Amino acid sequence: MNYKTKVMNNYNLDEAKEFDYVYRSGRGLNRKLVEGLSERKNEPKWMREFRLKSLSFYEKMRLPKWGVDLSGIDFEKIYYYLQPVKKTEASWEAVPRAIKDTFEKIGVPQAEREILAGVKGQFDSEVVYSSIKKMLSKKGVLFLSMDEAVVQYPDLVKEYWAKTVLPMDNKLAALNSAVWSGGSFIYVPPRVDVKLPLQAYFRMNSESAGQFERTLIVADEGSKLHYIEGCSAPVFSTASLHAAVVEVVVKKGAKVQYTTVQNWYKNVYNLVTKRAVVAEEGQMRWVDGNLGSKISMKYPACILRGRKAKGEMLSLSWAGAGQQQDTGAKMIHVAKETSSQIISRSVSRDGGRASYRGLVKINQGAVGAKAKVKCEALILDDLSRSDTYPTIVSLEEQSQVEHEATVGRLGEDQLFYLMSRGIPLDEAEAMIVNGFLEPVIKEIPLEYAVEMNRLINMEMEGGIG
Amino acid sequence: MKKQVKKIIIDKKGEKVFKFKFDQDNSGTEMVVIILALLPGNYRIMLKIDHDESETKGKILVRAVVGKKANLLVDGLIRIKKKLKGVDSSLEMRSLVLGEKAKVEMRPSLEVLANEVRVAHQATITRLSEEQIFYLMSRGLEKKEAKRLLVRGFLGFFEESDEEWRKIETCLK
Repeated sequence: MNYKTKVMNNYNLDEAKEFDYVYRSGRGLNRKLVEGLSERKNEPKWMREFRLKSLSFYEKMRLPKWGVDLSGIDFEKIYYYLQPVKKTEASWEAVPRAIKDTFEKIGVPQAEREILAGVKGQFDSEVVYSSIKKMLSKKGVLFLSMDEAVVQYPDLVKEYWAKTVLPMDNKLAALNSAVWSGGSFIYVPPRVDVKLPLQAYFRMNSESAGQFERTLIVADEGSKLHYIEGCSAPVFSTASLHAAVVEVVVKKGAKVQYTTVQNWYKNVYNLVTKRAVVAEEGQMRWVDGNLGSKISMKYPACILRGRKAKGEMLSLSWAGAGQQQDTGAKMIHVAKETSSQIISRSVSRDGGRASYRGLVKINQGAVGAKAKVKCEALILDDLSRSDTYPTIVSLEEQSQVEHEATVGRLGEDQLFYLMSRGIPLDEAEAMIVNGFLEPVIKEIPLEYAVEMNRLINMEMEGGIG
Repeated sequence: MKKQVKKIIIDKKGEKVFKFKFDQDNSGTEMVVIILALLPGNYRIMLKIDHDESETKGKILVRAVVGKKANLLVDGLIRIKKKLKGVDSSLEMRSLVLGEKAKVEMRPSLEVLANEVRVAHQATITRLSEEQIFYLMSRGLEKKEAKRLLVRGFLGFFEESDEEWRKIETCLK
């Protein structure tokens, strides 16, 4: 048994477990459901009103017509709210056995939990397990589920809530605003450096379970934070929907990195709105790995609002059989001397389609702004497709924008060289692909990077042999 | 394969579509598209690049000079059909903004449906570099001369007529 098959055997993601849900909403969406949901969560009045207002936006708006075909989603058939256990469990021991098993399968190692600052796992629509180290609370860092935050810190949440991604931004943001459930809320006080990456590990576990988590991160002046989210979902027979909203507020001089490792199962529609507003001398960095899902539409954005603000995006996409990865980034330069960089690497094979879609906009007054985009794509067979659709708009003559993209295939000379060294074809191919993705993978923390490499090897194994 | 260079000059306002087809006959051709968007107004240019046959090479260079209050949009799409092999295609779009309140939008796109190919594009939007002007001035050139030289360098071997140069020069002020 070679290394890869061993990994395959150990990495068993394909078993969906049955669960007893404490509460399950009916299929489909209406005003009553939203009111009931808000009531169950004991939310303040402003939140309920916000949900209902968002619902009316949702009903009026249309799905995006560009880019990707979303007609496969049947919004009537989705359960908008699922609650697997009654309360957020305080200790690991109290977490139900069945849920622990599933965590075991995703591979959140028990021992590693001690090292990881606060492991937050989202199981269906509720956070069931949370552990925050004392150190964090001593520093005044708030890290809790969004549902708890709304009840416990209503004023703080209200101050930043939906200021970055408005409900009328797009139909899916409106949907999320109406029925959101779960997700993380993080507040980092001024000049606090959160040295350990905060992690949220969640997965979906019910057929047609819509996941509408909502994450809000506020990094106060001069603070530092690295947040990681990763997910993997088991096999479902009908399409699921994941429509999350992530808002990040980067204040003066703060630095935030937001890393995503996305491995939804291949029937999930992953339609996510992510946006950060960056103040003076702040830095925002998105690292985004998209491996799974049927269709992904994700364009993390940075609005560089303060002088010398910096935005960065590192994106990795993998489009296998039946997959369409429509990903990219948006960088909006508003203030002087702002800079941004987008690096995108995509691989398509077995009929997959990987597209880069992005926007770099330099607004008038953004004197001395600099932006750089670099996209590279690999196509591994003649069934697959790769596209690049960047848009570059410059309204300020005192600025500089660069864009570069290439599409190509595996270098025959490279393959020949590796094979001449005695490496079989499939391993050589996997090696080159991993090397190609390296610039993005190296920015991902070790344990995730290892998982990514394994997944890529598995994907390679799946098709070529 | 012989390299041929062809030039297209666009200096009129309005919308224009250019189609480029590369086949065995014109494989290896380098096209240079020069856009002089010097007067205020809308300039919309669409470049469609297709390869009809396998083993063809094509290169397109776009050089745009944008003047005050000009609004320039350049679309550039390279499409590689299924089953094509050995195609090497590239599109390079550069624009130089000389005037204030100009708006430049570049949309270079790739749609690649074959794998044994190499396709690339590049786009930049820049202005005259203060550093380069300073360097040339330190070598004894007048500011005007320095700018002129840089614009000429940017446009390559394009031989502008006196009238065209006068227009560019008004933008440099």
